[in-house]
Amino acid sequence: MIIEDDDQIIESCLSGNKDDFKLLVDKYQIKIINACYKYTKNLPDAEDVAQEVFIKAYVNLDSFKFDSKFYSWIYKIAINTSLNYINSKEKRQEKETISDESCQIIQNTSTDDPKEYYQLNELIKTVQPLIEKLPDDLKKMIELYEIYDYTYEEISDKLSIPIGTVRSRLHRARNMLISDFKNINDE
Amino acid sequence: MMNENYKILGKIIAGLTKDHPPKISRDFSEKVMSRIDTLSSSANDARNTSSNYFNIAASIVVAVVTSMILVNYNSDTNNLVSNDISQPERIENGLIKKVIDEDACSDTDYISNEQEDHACK
Repeated sequence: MIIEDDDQIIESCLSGNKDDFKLLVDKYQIKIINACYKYTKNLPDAEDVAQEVFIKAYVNLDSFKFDSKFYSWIYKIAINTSLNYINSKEKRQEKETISDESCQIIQNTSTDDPKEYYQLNELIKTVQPLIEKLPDDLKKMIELYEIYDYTYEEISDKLSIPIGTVRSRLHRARNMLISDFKNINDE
Repeated sequence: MMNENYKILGKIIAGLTKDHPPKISRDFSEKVMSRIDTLSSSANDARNTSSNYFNIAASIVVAVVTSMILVNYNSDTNNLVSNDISQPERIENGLIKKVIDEDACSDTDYISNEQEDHACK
């Protein structure tokens, strides 16, 4: 199972393989939609804004500086796009008064159809035990990189291990988590 | 299959960071990629259109330059012809005509006397 680093995927996109951008969308869609959801307060709008975020990221991918993490970069785009969305929505609301009935209609149109949505309510309960099962060195790596947002260099300095070791441990940790997650879902 | 691994990794990261909405559309990434495809194809169309315009403009410039070169060439050729035409007019000058006539008679050293008389008459 090959999970490439974000930087490798970006380089591939920049060299013309635009379909590889889908890997980044798949990886970060949940976090970016949630970042937008904190501002929009409703899911359909959050997904619309998140779409704009990914499109902006794709269009401006050549301006990405490889000295930061891709998620940090796209998260800033998400915050700016969400703020723009709120400003434009406030301007719209100044022009047109939205009645309570129309809000009710919007709420009623949202569906919980499992064919259309991934339900994520149980996600934390599902994932937390998986990381507990990891060996300590791999668990530490995942925590530093994914939760505390350290870069490879920072982890290397902090733990006094070569960057190559950081990469390989992260690779192993991700693969173990993915296969464990699949096993749970198959059961 | 590979994409599915990235989706799962996304879920794991979101679960670990406790950073996720209650649900998301299953076809979210497909929608994004479809919009990116549309964007790329319209950008390509615009590039092709501008390329076509450039080709047409270049053809017109080449045609105009070629025409100008041909017109200039013709006028140069006309100048040469007019010079050629002006020379015989000078030949009509009496002095030159006389010299030519004298040359014709001086050649008579190489022909018979009868012919010489004929020519000089």
